[in-house]
Amino acid sequence: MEPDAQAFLGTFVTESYYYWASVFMLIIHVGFLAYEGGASRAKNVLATMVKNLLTLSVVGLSFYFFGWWVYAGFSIFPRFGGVIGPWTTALPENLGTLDGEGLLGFVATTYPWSPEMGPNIADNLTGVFWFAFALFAMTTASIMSGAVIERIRLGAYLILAAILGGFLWVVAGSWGWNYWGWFNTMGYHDFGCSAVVHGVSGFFALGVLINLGPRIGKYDAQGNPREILPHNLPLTMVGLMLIFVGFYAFLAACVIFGPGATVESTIYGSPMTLASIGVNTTLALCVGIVGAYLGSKGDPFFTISGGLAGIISVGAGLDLYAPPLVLLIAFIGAYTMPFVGKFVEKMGIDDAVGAFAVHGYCGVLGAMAVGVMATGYTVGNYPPTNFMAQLVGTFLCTIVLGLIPGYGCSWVLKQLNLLRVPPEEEIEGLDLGDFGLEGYPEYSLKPEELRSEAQLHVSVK
Amino acid sequence: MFVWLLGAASPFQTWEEFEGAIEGDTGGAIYTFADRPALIGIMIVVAALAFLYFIYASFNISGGKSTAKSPPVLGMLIVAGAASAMASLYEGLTERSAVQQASRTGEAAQVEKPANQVPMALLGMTGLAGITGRKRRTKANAAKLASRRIRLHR
Repeated sequence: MEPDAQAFLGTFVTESYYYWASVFMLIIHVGFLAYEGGASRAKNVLATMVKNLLTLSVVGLSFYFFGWWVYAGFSIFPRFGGVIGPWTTALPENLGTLDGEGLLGFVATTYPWSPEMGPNIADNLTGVFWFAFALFAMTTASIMSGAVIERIRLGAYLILAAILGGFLWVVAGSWGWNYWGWFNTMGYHDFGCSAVVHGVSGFFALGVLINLGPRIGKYDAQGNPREILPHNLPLTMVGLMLIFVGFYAFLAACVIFGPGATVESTIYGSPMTLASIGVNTTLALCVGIVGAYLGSKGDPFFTISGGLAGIISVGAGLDLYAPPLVLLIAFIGAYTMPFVGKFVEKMGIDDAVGAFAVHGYCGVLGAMAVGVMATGYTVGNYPPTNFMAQLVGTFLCTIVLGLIPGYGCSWVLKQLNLLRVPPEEEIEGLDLGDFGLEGYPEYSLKPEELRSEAQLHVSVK
Repeated sequence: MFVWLLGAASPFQTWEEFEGAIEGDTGGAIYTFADRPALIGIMIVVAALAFLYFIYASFNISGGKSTAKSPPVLGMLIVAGAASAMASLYEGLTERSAVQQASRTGEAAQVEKPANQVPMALLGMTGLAGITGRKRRTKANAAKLASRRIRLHR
């Protein structure tokens, strides 16, 4: 083979790998759509699913207009300098142990008007990396979307999705999941984005839920939580199975393999293998379901979420953990997850799909587990992985970039009376309120309507 | 008409130019109007405005009865935030050209001040929302809200 052709083959393999991994990541969103549509009541199914569809649009466009640049431009901010943008001509002299080579060039490729973003035969890779990151971004917003179903106003949700998917998680990724991110200088390690994606999203959702309030009828007059069952349990189950499939692609896309490389690596530059992701993810999925089944005493909703809880609980160290360690950590995360979900419910927070317990709590657990169970790995000139680095990184991701902005943004929307649909529309169902249609026009929804009428007599918490 | 207005969409005159784009003026870019960045910029601005309008319209467009309470406030919020961000970027670009002139003397220059302006623009957007939200909380609104709660407790 000609040397040029051989070199191009390397580029094409990388291009193809991330392209197809991203296509399979889209299955996560098929899963979220099915899961949330099934978990909603029949009167809200259409609104719930359309909300998920619009998530792709809003986050994808936000990520194109500014998110991709945020990922590159915020990487050293505020630790070593300002935000890097079109105005920056040189990096600060002091970057600590960070290697700044190539950073300015990378930032220049991330603007919407950058030549590398369009068809460009001099750059086959920027576009596929953008594609992969855009799918990550959509995942963060989809994590929030399930928590807020059946009462959030569509426009408010879209604004929150754009902020979370187009900015907040991207800042977390810029700091903690980036070759040039300043978290590297602490020894932070989060291969599968436990805190960077799941922690940020889960805590952002929690902040929003505090302002949004529970669905009408979720709590009785004494404040005790009541079950609001999915209208289509099989769809919910299939949805989560699809999310599992997509997660394998998500984790595969976290592996870095460039043209000419002789080894696979993480985004931090540490060596790893794709095979280990196959083994450890599967074990975490299996034992996660077992853990949640036992922890919830056989509750079907917590049980199916357990697979995800298991994977997220070990996500940050999937590339390093011994398989038996994966079994233990994933079991602990999934076993305790239902207790967190029930505690949040008792606190008066109506998280319709347990997003905080699965993504927020397990995200924190996953990131912190590295600080205890995978310490001492040194990459380049950076400090070895350590507890304090994980603690600081996790705190910044979950509280500073998740909970506080989630609460703040939803508070502003609430003050503008834009956050929640009126009680009358919520009782009638969002399908009729938003679209003037019913999700199931052939079937009578009388029993549901009657139950909703009965709920009028219950206090709105 | 469009050809008269914009010229051909292709940045290339011949097959040789197209095939050898890497060595050409576009540096490998083969997309339409690659040789006219101003046109690309205009299209981005138009697309961004359409996106902002979509967000705004999502409060209004409804197959059922419209229930949005304050779309004008939201519109102001979005327009103010977008204008603020655009202004920051514009000032940043202006600053860059000044720095490029300075750096011709051989000294690497770094601009720090504009780097803080985009986050500030976002903060300004939130701040504006807070102010307008406070104005809307009149006694009449509070009374309406209270009466709605009473109805639901009946």
